[in-house]
Order: sequence, then C-alpha cells, then structure tokens
Amino acid sequence: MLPPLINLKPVNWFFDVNRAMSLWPVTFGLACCAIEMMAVSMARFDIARFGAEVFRPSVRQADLMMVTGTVSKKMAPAVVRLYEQMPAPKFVLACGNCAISGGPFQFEGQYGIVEGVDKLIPVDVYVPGCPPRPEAILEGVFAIQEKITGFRWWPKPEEIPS
Amino acid sequence: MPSFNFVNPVDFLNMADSPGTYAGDFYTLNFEKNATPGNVILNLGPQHPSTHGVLRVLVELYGEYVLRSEPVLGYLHRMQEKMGEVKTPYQFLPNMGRVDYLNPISWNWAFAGAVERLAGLEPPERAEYLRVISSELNRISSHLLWWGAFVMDLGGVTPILYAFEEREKINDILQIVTGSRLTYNYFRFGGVGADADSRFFQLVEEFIPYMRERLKMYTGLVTDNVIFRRRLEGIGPMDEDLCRRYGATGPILRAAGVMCDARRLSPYGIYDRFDYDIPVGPSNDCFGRYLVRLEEIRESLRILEQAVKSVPEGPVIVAKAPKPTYKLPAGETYFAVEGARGQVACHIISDGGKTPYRVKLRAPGFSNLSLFAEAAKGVILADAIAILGSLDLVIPEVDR
Amino acid sequence: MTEARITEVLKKAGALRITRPDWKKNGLRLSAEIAPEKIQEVCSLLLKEGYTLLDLSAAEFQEGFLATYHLDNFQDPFRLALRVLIDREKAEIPSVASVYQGAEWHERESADFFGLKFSGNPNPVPLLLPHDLPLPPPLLKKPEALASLSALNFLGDELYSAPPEKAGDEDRGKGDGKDA
Repeated sequence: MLPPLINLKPVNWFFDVNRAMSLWPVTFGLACCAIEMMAVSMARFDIARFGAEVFRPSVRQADLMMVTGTVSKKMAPAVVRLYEQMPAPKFVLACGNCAISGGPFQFEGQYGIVEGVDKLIPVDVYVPGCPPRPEAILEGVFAIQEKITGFRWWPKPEEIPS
Repeated sequence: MPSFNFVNPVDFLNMADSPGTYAGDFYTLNFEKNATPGNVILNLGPQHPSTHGVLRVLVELYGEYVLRSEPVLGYLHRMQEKMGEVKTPYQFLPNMGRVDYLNPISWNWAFAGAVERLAGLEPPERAEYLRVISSELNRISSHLLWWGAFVMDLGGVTPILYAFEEREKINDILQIVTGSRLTYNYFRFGGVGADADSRFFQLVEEFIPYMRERLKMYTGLVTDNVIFRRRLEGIGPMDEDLCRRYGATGPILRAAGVMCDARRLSPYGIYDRFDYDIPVGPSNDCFGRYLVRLEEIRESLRILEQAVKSVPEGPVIVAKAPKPTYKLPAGETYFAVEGARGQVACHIISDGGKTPYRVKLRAPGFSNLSLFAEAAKGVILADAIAILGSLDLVIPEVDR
Repeated sequence: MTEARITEVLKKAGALRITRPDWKKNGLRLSAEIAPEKIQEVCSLLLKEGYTLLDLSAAEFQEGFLATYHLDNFQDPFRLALRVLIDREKAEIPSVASVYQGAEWHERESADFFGLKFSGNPNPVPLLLPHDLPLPPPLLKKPEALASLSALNFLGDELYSAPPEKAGDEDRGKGDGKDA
C-alpha cells in the first residue's frame, strides 16, 4: 500500500477522526440482526447522531460492512466479493452470534453455514447477541471509532446494579 | 482457508463457456438456456437495499419489461429441518423464533401447538389469552414493518420511521413477558413461558387507542397519496385461480376475495370467542393487498381490546409441564395457524425417540414467492419490485 | 357430505387405501394412499374440486420414501393428505407441477433434501442447497435409525382399501390401521 501524500501525524489523525465520525455503512442485512440494524438507524436508537447515517446500498460507496446475520455457504462467495469491492480504508463489524461463530445454527452435522464470518473476511469488532440490542450495535460502532482514532469519544453508560 | 469452493472474482471472468456467451454462475447459465439473444439478464440481489433479506431474482428484460423471472433461493438456508431432527423438541423451540423473525409468535404457536396436539396437552385459560394477545401484537408489528418497508421500496422514505416507532412501542410491551425484542421464544409446550403483570395489560390498553390514531394518520399520509395509488392500482393482479395453483395463503388470498383464514375456518386457541371480521379485499392488485393488511391491523386491535378485558387469573402452563427432556409420543400431526403472511404449519412425524423423526415447516412465504414468476410477467421492472414488496416476504422462512 | 364425495373421487381415481385420522390429534380429515403413477391424475381431479396444494413433505422410512401431499380447500375446508410410497432404489415419482405450479418448488426442495427424482419437473436444479455441495442429501438417515411405517400406525380408521388385484402389493408391511 502506498503511503499518503502528506504523511504528518496530526494530519493523519485529523483524517482518522473525520473517517470515524462519518462512517458509511452498507445495507448488508442477511437475517434477523438486519432488523436490529434497521432499528438502530431509526428514530429511537438513532445512529445518525454518531455519524453513521448514510447507509449505502452499493459497497463501492461504503466503508463499514456490518455483517448482520448468518452467512450460508451459498452466500459466502458473495460476501467475499462484496468485501473486495469496498475501497480501503474499510472496516467490518460482525453483528450477532451467527456472524461471530455460526451462532445457534452450529450443531453436529451442520452442512450449510459458515461458522463465523471471520473465516472469510477480517473482522474488526464483534458484537455478540442474538440479536444484539440496538444499544449494543451502537457500542460496536463506538469500538470501531475507538479503533480508528485511538480513544472512545462518547461517555460510557453506568452499570445498572443487578 | 475456507474448505468449500468459492469463486475468486478474478477467475470469474474466465468462466465463460465459449466466445459469445458472457460469464455467469450456475443459476444464471441455467436461466439463460431459454433466453432470447439481445435481452438483458439482470440479477437483483442477493445483496440489495430491501428488507426481505437475501433473495436473488434473475430477470430477463426487454428494455424495461420483465419477460421472465426466476427467484433463486438458498442464500439463507439454515438447516432448520435438520435441526428439528437433531435437537430435542425443547431445544428446537428457540429456532422457531428465527424462522420468521418478524412473526415469531406464529411459528412458536405452530410448533408448540403441533406438539400439544400430538401429546394431548391443553394449555390453561390464562395462557390461551396471553397467546392471543402476544400473537395479535406480533401481527400488528409485522404488518407495520411491512408497511414501512413497502413504502420505502416504492421510494417513500418517511413512513418507515413512523412504523419503527410503533414497533418500538410493541417491543416494549412484549419485552416484559418474552424478554426479547425480536426473536421471541415465548411459548412452551402446554402454555407460555412467563406470566404477565398489570403493567403489561395497562400498556396494551394504552397502545390500542394510540395505534388507532396513528392509523388515521397513515391513511392520510400514504393511502390517500396520489403517487402511491397510481403506483399500485391495477398492478400485479393475483386472482383466486392463481392462488389455488400455487398454494398461496394469507393477505394475498384474501385480497383475491376468498375468505380463508385459519383462525376462522379451523379455529385454534380461543379465537372463536372474539368478535372480529376477516378483511376480504376489494381488489386483487397490489393496492388491494395493501388495504387488506391495514384492515388486519384494525381487526387485531379489536381482538386485543376484547382479550385484555377478560383475561382470567390462573397458571400459565399446564400442571405437569413437560420438562426440558420431554420426548414426543409416536404419531404424526399437522397443525396450522394464521401468521401475518399466510398459513404457517408444522408437520411433525415422531417415532417416540428423543428427537422428532421429521419436522417439516410449511412457510407461507415459500408458496407466496413461487407465484412471482407468473405474476410479474410483462410488467415493467418498477412494478415487479412493487409486486415483490406486496407479497410480504421474509426470506429466512422461505429458505428455512 | 364432503367426506363421502371426496372418498368417491379418490376411489375412482385409484386410491389404494383411504383412512380417516383423528382431526384433533393428527390435524387431517382424510388420508389416502396413492400409487406413484396415479398422483398426477388424483391431483388434477382435486384441483377441479377446488383443492390447493399446501405442502409436500417427504420422509425416509425402512420401506422407502413417503411423500405426503397436504391439500386443503379454500371454500369448504377439508384437509387431506395424499401419501405416496416411493421405492428406495428407484426414488422416482411423476411431478405434479403441470397441475399445481407451486409444486415445482416443493419438489425441488424434496429432491435437495432426499435425492428424490421428480420426472417432469420443469426446472430440476437445486433450490435451497448450493449446487456444488459435496455432501449426500442432508436429511437421509443412517440405516439403523430408520423407523418402520407400520410401527408408526398413524393412519387412523380405515374407510376403504383397494382389493389386492388392483393394489398389487399386499406385502407392504402396513399395520391394520385401527386406532391404537
């Protein structure tokens, strides 16, 4: 990979902050977690507040791929092709148990799914849950922002005493 | 490295059989066999900005007109029927929440009801009422999401925000009893999983007039919108004969004028105690199906109103509730419920062993989607998308 | 009534055995066993009567594959099951896709899961499984795990049984069909 034209640390950090604050996710809803991804982009759990508002249908215009749902063996070539079509810098968020490890569909004698999308493409952040709550997906986006810029921008919510 | 065959995009271009044909995968080449040269073969999906999931539709286009189409399935095949044979009935129950994630209560009911029929279990009264209340709330939330997504498919991006806000209210209510927002695993064999407290019923009672007000707004915002009506009226007529040849059920059939609803014709649970109408559509085009679904939301609100008033006290599961190591008795059963998309049924064959012998899930979306090829012949591509949206598909139940 | 009329239709079309299962337990009003060659004719007669094909589910038993066609009528609900016993080696049955076009997908799915061949299906490519899956059909069972149809005995009160010269195979190993 070629180095950038202006390779000064503050300038790089400035661009990183801009990238983190305006991630463009791709509408890659595969299964149930897709509904939670839609819910996180709707009025109650607004993801637009944190910059990731513009969901692009085409991967060539996006930089965050949220793999929401089970990846079947028939779909796997399409996932890889879509990942390779995304221009760098690109990030992958594995949302839901199925994308992390096959989830509830991993059993003795399974023949149809890929056990975890990290067998196909490199994943940056894993968000567990079946399906994860929209707040959990937001925390996943914050973790991606932390990965890009180096620290977490938003306050951590307090733990609710059980 | 993955151990299955996947196509490297660079090799993709070398896949063409002979000069003069262009590259395509197995399904495209199969579809092309009957294609007329000069027509465009277009692949819609499997990744697309629509909500039904990973559906791929191959269409042959002459200009803008769809001459032939073929849906290609299997991109979300999650081996539910194999899991039915490998897992015990109790372990298989959460799968039912994932078969159709927008209407999981109906699938819960189909499977739990089939097991109860086979075993001769009768849920107590309070459980039956809670089943009806959760099922109707789920029907409303499923229709709401369909409504928002359908209008978004046609280009109107605002209503989905309203639909999701209503859905969040329903999720708040159902979260109290089921514990989840989306893939409910609420039913158990012989009853339901948890009891409801007074806050649950109070929230339901507050929700009903609120939803009625919103429905009035939806009518003004969308149903009476002239662009919306021009896009849908007369598009995609599906008459009774078409539905009969393909086995289509649900709002598609009711819009065609047939009063066929499992709640009325083969009543299960306590549906025969409530006073409600089954909306049968004025017209069998996309707009008729749209109106039928909105009417169904109104009728569900009527059922909810009556149910909440008369819930008795009592247990929510049978006295000798099946334990997690429950074994099905030998036999065969077919139990059908009315889901939001059509008739949801479970065909279980059991030989008395630890796991069922064969579990066949009858998904309404499977039969509904099979008539797309015939219904979308000769329409322009935008109308084909409208027809696909009006079928109300959820692909995990089609692929199972 | 409906039962008498449908029983007559099925008898004329060549049903081998017609039984009345328990509606409450089995969810079926009538269960008829049909020979594989006759399934198309029976289906076209039932389509004229107004029946729709809801479901085609197949299962593997010791005696072979049992394909169950569930049909129901919209106007006058009367759920039927047509059962076809298919030989294990040949595993072939005529397709009903010319009568019920929706059956094309059901048959492709059963072919995926069990390796059955539906002759006459207009588009016999895999429906749900990847076309290059290097595994045998997924829902086939190991020979020791197969159950016997007669042991299951789920067919209910017998209404009609075709005489042996028409049926052709007495030694199918069925139970006597009385309610257990």
